[in-house]
Amino acid sequence: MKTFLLVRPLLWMNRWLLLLLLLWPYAMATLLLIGGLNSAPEDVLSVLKQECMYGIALVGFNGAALLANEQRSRRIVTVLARAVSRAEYLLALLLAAWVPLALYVVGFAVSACLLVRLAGAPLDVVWRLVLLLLVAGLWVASLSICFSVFLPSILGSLASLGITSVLAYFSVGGPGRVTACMMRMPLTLTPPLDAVDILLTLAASAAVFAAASVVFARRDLNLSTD
Amino acid sequence: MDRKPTEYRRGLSSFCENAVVTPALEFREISKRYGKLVALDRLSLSVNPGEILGFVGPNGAGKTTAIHLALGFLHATSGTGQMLGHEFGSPSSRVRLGFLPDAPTVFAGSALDSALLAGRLNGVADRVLRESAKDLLLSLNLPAEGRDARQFSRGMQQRLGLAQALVNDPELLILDEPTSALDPPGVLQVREILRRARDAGKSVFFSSHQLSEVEQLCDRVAFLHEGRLLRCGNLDALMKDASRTEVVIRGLGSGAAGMAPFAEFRVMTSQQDGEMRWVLPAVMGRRMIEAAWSAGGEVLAVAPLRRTLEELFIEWTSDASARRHP
Repeated sequence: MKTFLLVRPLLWMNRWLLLLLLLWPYAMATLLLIGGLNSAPEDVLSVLKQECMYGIALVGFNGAALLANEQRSRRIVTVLARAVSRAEYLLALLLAAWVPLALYVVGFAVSACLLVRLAGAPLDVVWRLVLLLLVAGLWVASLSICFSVFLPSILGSLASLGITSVLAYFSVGGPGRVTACMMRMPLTLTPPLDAVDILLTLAASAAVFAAASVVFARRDLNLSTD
Repeated sequence: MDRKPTEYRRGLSSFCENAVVTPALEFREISKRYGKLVALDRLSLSVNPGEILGFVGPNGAGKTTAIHLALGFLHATSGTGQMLGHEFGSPSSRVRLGFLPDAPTVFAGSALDSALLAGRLNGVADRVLRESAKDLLLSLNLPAEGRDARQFSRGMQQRLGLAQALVNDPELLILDEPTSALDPPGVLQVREILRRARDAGKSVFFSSHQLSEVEQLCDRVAFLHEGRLLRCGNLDALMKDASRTEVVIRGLGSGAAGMAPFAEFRVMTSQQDGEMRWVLPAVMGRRMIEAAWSAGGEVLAVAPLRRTLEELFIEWTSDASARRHP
């Protein structure tokens, strides 16, 4: 409950950026429509995959910066001086990193449905991309939050996105296969979506977050003292 | 029937005489090191229920480090501590805590939003929270709604921080420089709030550079210097221990033989026209007068010197520095 109380002000701090991100997929779709949509379904799919990549990058950079921002602004003091545990606080940061992706996905889904329908491609591809984007986003959010506990934000975001890219390139483990499936999805929708990979990715995200909580609970906050 | 604060405190005192009182805040031999730098060195200190303890020290003395250890922002290198019956760092210890940081910061939103968030995070029920938060903001002359609290002046943000600290009706208040950005009416208001909190049986632990503030408010004072506790005790007793008497004597021989009976008094502060002036610890005043009479001198004046906390602070810290860095 306290976690949800914290997510709202954390999101509200970045409301203009979030609004921009929410509108971004519509802007992309509008540009395609203004140009006259005469692209092949494969090209539309390629645009959608790019948008998925932006979503993942958004989570990686946002997640890695949140903790550093809260420590730099010392708002973390306002929160952790209350009856809030470090794990609850970190979970709030995780959600604050992931919820913008969920908002982004709303815009993505609506605009993608329109584009896919106009291009004559199967609508199922959109729902699969949405699911994979949300799951891969959760993985990247956990990883970036974990790195932000002990790395500067820029290194944390590069590490989380780098590791995810390597896993995806070699299709290793749940997170690697989910990300690879998202980035290589063909219009024919083969191979089929593997539920085990999705569950593995969720489990890996939970494990990374648990490790991050343990490390964060044992570390001193980075606050300047007198 | 409401009890008067004095009755309450008398009752509390008699209770304390007969029972083992658990301190609201207790540091036990706690140290914090950053590599070779010792930020806090085996600090042992406690704040009892119903008292205001002033935590005084120069910049870099370790005051904020001690507060951050109590709140669980930092982990001790050695030693332990308890706050409201729980180990340092436990979220349960902070349920009935009010904390005002040295530089309060808030999320976007109105003053009421900030106060409500603070109360909710401490588990205060919504049905009572909204009204009490509004009353609190009103009493601190802050606009509850209509203005983003981040745009407040530093003084207003400090008052908002105080509102956040008080919104959960805390048993223990930890205040880090609570009046540093306030104007004189604001300082008086904070002083009144702290007195009322003490009279209601709450404990207050506050660090300050403003020694006049500490002198007026605190029951006990703890002096910290370079991470070490120099003195801690009842303010009156500390002042009494450190009080001085000025003695002016005429008619003593000025040679070494004439001064021999006064060797124990060490330093004479001035000598002019046959009048000798000493400033010495008050407890030595009587012996000094007797020695002067025995030596055939005439005591012209004996005057107690009132010393301020500021003078004591400077004396103690320079003594400690001289001992540590000879």
